[in-house]
Amino acid sequence: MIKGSLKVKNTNDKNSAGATFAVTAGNVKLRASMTEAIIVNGPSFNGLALSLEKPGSFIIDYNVPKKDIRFQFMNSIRVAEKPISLNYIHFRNDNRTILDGTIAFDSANKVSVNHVVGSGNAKLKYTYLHGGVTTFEQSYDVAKETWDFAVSRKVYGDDVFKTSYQTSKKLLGLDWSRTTKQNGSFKISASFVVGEQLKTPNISAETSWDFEM
Amino acid sequence: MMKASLKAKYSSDKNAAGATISVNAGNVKLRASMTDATFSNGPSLNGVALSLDKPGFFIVDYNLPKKDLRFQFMNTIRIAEKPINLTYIHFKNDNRTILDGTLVFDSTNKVSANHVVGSGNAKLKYTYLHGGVTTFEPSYDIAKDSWNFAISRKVYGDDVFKATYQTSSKALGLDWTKTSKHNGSFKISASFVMGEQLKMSNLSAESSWDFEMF
Repeated sequence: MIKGSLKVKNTNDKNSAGATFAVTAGNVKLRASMTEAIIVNGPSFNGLALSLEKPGSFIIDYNVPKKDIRFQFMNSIRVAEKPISLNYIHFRNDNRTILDGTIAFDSANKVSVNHVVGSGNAKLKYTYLHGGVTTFEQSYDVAKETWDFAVSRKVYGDDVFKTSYQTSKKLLGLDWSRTTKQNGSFKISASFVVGEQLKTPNISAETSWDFEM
Repeated sequence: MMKASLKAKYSSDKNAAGATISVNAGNVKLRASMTDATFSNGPSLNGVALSLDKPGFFIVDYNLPKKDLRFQFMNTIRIAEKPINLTYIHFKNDNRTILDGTLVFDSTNKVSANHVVGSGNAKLKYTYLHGGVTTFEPSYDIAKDSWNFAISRKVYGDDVFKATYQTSSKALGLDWTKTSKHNGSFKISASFVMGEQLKMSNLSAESSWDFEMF
């Protein structure tokens, strides 16, 4: 069975679309995506990406035009009876390796550390789920000494409303997303720079549909 | 509980020794190793390595003096009901990535492919287990168009005798390994170059002992 999905994104500057086809073989999924086609005078498909994934274990992405490979491995370990989720991501062309670890203290509290190998820097994040519907995320960039915040809340069942703020750029973001099984998903985002003048915000809308062929 | 092991190797050229201490924490093992190079000219970081591994899943090695990281991830996928064992190895300093895949047809037949990413080359290996005691491994290097062979056989219970031959370098190797739980293990290896005359290029003996501390 082949599953497919289409995604369309409209922003202030441009509109783009992408399509993905996925086939399941045993316990792995093979995916082909056409990425970020810019629709100017009719669609043109820019890049083909191929992906091999074993859900929960690894993902290997191959960007055909750039001949770049991205490896991702997911593991979890148990230390002192707490589960720690680990992620390893490696981009071949840039020779960049990212390590991510999340320790779940309980169902409502998690701490994550994200480290780019060789950067000497780390980003720490604390996630707190309140009342089962509201999530508070505080993150701290150790080298830049800056904080970012995000609050997201489930509304009307399957909708999620999210506010985020990056102190270093004074960037405030608002998102509304809705995921449904039958009618696809959409996300509307707006971002503002909180400064002296009120500048035109960046607004974008993404819509996606999944189907089986 | 801490486990430790000591290893000593004597060979034609040099002698070397090493020690490893490992601790279990949950389902991962932390290991610290050092070699005789750590002490040969006064204490140093030479040959000190730290390792974190979750058996069957991943190994991360850190070589202290070289500040080099080695990542290894192991996974198994199933296609057409056959298991394929995959291994990914990445050396940070050299930026070298190796992918290895083994397709297990049944309990006696396996085919492996080993590829250094970006090399355009692959080494193929076929492993056949005969009678439960003898293993035949022919392997082929595609770019060099050369074959290697290995035959190993269990003898006297826990001992293994192995013969290898690399056609490209005409190198013949013979190994005898004995592994025991209480008396440690040893391995004697001899390598020869098969030219017009048969020359012995190396002879070595390795012993290792495992024990538990605390």
